[in-house]
Amino acid sequence: MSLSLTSITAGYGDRMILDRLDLDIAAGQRISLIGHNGAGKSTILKAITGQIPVKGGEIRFDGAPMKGLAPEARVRHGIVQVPAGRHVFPQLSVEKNLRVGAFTRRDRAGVEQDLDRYMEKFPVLRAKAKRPAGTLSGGEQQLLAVARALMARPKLLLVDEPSLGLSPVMVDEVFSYLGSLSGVSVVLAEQNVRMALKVTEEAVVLSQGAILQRMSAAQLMQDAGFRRSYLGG
Amino acid sequence: MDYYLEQLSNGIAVGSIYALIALGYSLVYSILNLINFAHGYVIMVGAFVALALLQAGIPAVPAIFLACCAGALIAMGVERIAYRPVRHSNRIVPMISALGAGLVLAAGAQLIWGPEVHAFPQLIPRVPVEIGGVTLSSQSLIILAISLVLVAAASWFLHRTRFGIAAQCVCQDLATAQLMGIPVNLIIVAVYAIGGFLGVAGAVLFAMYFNAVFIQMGLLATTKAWAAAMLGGIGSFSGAFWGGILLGLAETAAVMTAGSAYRDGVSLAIIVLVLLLKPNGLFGAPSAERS
Ligand SMILES: Nc1ncnc2c1ncn2[C@@H]1O[C@H](COP(=O)(O)OP(=O)(O)OP(=O)(O)O)[C@@H](O)[C@H]1O
Ligand SMILES: [Mg+2]
Repeated sequence: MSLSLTSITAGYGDRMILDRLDLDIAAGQRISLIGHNGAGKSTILKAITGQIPVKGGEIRFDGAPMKGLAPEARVRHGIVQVPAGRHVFPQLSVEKNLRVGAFTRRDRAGVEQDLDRYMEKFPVLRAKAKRPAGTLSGGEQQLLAVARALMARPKLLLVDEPSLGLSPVMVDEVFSYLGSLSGVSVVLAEQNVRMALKVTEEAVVLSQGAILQRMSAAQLMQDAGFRRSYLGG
Repeated sequence: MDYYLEQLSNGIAVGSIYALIALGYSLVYSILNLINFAHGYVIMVGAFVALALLQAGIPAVPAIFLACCAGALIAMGVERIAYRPVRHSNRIVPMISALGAGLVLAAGAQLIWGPEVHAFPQLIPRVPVEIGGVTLSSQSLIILAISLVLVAAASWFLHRTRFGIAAQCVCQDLATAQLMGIPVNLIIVAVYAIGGFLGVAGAVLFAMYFNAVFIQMGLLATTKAWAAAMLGGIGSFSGAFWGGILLGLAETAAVMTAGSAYRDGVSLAIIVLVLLLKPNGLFGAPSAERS
């Protein structure tokens, strides 16, 4: 898998947020997008999934141009997002939520296997398999949302603000799981900088829709200027 | 006693018709989060089509089936012309365009079939049937049976098939459904089509039960679908069903106590009361995370 954003301009209506932004992600890479409120993290994810149109520049995934493809078509290419705020289907059972994640897949046996695998990995999902997903706690819903996205067997997993509204224990569980994934590239948009840098190898620092820095997470943690702005010293 | 039981069965039968009409309405409502004024008009046209086909000598079952298909097609057309272009606009815009589509359908139907009330062929025998010492109307029983079969089929489709579950996802959270790879436009068209199909089946039964087809059925059907769906909780399949049954019973009770002039006021009263007292409907789950 390879993703390249080349000089993309995108935003909402007439208001452009990203201005000629470049970003490349290679196979198996895990990258954090770091930035304050409104820096443009979610906007980058939306441009990649096709939730907002790209007005200038180009996004290519595995060499194929994504221009004009709706989000559902990009899922078939292997781009899957865990939306911010979880957004499980509240009235569907936990199990059906997981199955919906595999909507684009045709390999029935593989789907059953994966279903079993994620229920094994997260016993709470098995225990509550038949309950409406809306009845789960916030943390459980986040686990479900991540597992549901993985049910698609994505090549590229985009995760938007998974720590939002979770207890510290749940944040640990979700992040250590994201950090343990293999065989999938991950882009993690996150305000919880410490956690994000722990589970990704690289980080991109954004401000006002532009990339300020891109470097390894370990290096960034040593950067005094960065620590002052994003970690409070 | 007999009298009450007979009225009860009539109420349930009428209610099952409303359930059929409300199902499609409720599903569409939950996708767009708006009052689909066009729904009643679409199925009114379907009822006229059924009448025309029957008068042309086509046997009842194929005639009604074709009319239901016509309803599905018209509903799809309404979606394409009046909704899709404005789906991302402010909520009020699709509502007005729905009303506009309904008025166009009403005007078109009036041009073809005229403003008068037409009698509808009585295809279902209306004879007294005795069950356990109680006399019921065969018509009510057959209507109830037909409605239940259709509701059960729709429920199976919606809850057990891949396509149906995808439709539920689109209803519950369109943007997320799209992120799961669900082809939302296709699903929305299909939901409209199913709503049109079931709705016309309901409209034909309605026409038989009241022995009438007329242009104003459009607004009347929208109002009843709206009331039934509100009562049961918008967007919920079982809610729309039970809402329909309850509406039928409430109407029958109103007719028994106050007279038949009060029948059509019941749905309006229900809409107002539900909005005021229980906006999520009687069985409505707290509407989770709908923004
Ligand atoms: N739907 C929208 N319509 C208009 N402007 C928007 C919309 N969503 C975001 N914006 C604007 O785009 C800019 C970038 O927002 P974005 O959501 O990408 O930030 P973010 O980095 O994800 O922030 P946060 O950490 O708060 O989620 C902000 O100025 C925001 O106000
Ligand atoms: Mg964001």
